Amino acid sequence: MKKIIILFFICLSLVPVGAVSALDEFSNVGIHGFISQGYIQSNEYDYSGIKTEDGSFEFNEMGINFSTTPADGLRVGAQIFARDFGELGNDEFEIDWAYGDYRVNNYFGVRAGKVKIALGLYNETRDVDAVRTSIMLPNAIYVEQNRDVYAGIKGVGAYGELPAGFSYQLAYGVGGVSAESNLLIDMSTILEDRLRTAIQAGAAAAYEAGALQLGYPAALAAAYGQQQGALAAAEVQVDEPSSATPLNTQNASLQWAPNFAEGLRFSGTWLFTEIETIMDIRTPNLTLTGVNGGTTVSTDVKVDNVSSIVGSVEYTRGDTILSAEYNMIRVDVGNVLINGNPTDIPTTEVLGWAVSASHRFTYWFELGAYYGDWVTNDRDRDGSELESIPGRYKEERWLRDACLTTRFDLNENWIFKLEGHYMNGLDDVDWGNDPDPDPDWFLFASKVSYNF
Amino acid sequence: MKKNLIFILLSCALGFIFVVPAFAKVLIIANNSVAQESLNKEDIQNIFLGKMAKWPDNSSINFVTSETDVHEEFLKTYINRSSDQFRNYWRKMVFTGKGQKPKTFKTDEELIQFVSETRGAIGYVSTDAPLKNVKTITS
Repeated sequence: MKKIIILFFICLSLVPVGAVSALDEFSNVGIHGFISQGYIQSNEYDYSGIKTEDGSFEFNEMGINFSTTPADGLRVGAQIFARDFGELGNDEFEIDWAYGDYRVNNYFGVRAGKVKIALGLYNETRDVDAVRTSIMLPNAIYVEQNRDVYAGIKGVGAYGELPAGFSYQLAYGVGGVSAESNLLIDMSTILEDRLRTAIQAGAAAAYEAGALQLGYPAALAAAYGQQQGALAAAEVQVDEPSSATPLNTQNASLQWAPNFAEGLRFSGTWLFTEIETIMDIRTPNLTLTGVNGGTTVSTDVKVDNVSSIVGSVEYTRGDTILSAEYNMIRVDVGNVLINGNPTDIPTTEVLGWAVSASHRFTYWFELGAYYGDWVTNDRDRDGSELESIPGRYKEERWLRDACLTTRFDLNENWIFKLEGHYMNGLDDVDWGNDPDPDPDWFLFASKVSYNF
Repeated sequence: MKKNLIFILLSCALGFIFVVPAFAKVLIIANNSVAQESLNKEDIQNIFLGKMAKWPDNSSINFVTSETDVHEEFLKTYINRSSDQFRNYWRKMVFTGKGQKPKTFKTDEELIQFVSETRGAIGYVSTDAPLKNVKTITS
């Protein structure tokens, strides 16, 4: 089936655009699509689940949509979409959006079905290469590994235009998530760190007290407690989620394009979602004679609140576009029952910001640049807490990305892009067995895309 | 000095020639069912960006675009976007399901015929286009 759809796309790209437009004219059914193929390579290490060190073509996306207006004010449509982003996507087709849209008046319209999530300026169009200068959006705002959480909501929504240049969009329903989402993988790491610390302290105290009861000298009892605490901590392991189920999800967006400042727009967007996951958690067996191995139990972990707030500003003047965005993600897990013991997991705040500029010099050439900064835990910005864990590096706490990008419009339908990234940081980076990973590295990407 | 003065005056005159007719070259036309006699620039921009979808009597707006030379002029004058930016804007709408690309016409005559036959339709043509069964909208 997958091959048939890909073949269908290839055939479509060979059909003259006029023929598709003609179908549009006669049937009132709009058919549009896009397909892109990229190549990505880094000078060292693998990035974001892609084998970038060797260079990879697992870097593509495609989508096709149909829409029509069966009655006055009513529009229905759907888009199917597939992508390959290293370990993610693998060209499996999914319904990207599919909804009915009824425009009651200029101030109010309703939508029902699966709608895109408005987050920041560009989340809704993040998969469409043709609508921006760069190949990759700043990861500080648009985390590729979290796309599943931010892609869409199945439910109902409302939208409209308000006086003075304001517009709004609301959606309520069930979101999406996959076990590979970065949010959940990061959460499992935090859970493991937290659990290890708690169990180590608890076991050390318990064995020390036991030794004292048996009449051991205080110093010896303390040393025994420390030894057993360390053994207990070594048994702790929290695996990445084996499954993830999205629950209640809400999304709101407010945009303001002030009439007195042509080309300026402000945007505030908010997303709230609850997620249920299952993780294998290994805890030590504490026996009277000491720590005796560990037991792995499949555990339900409910993420009470994943909320994202993005504030953005964009200014367009002539062929130049400037933008700045700030992103805050908050992950609240609350209490997790581990072996019957409630364990409190601290809230994590993930912060990112990015600034970008692009300019179109001719109808066929555009140049752009952006800088993004991303910290995976605001309470540990310098990574010192992370570094205190054996085998971890402080640079895993962040990723700073300076990108220079070029876009060549071969014609209205074909686009070719080249870009380079200077990276600092190791978040989302796999450095293999390198005992001393270099936090400074480079990434190169190119992509060709077709849309109609 | 005299040379410079002549150059400045010539530049101003040329600037005048190129700038002033910009508004004059584009004529906004609508179907006779449209009650509006005039629209301000903001309304025209909102219509062609799909933000204003209803006329004040709540009937649907059906806007169309042109592929003639007047298109670039229209975008510059009323929409404040280049044709690339306008195309990109509609790509975003189409690929998020928020809108359908407007119908577009290769000649003024075809566009005028469509507007004259379609309730709630609005479009733009060059000032020297032969108008028939449509009304002009002042801005």
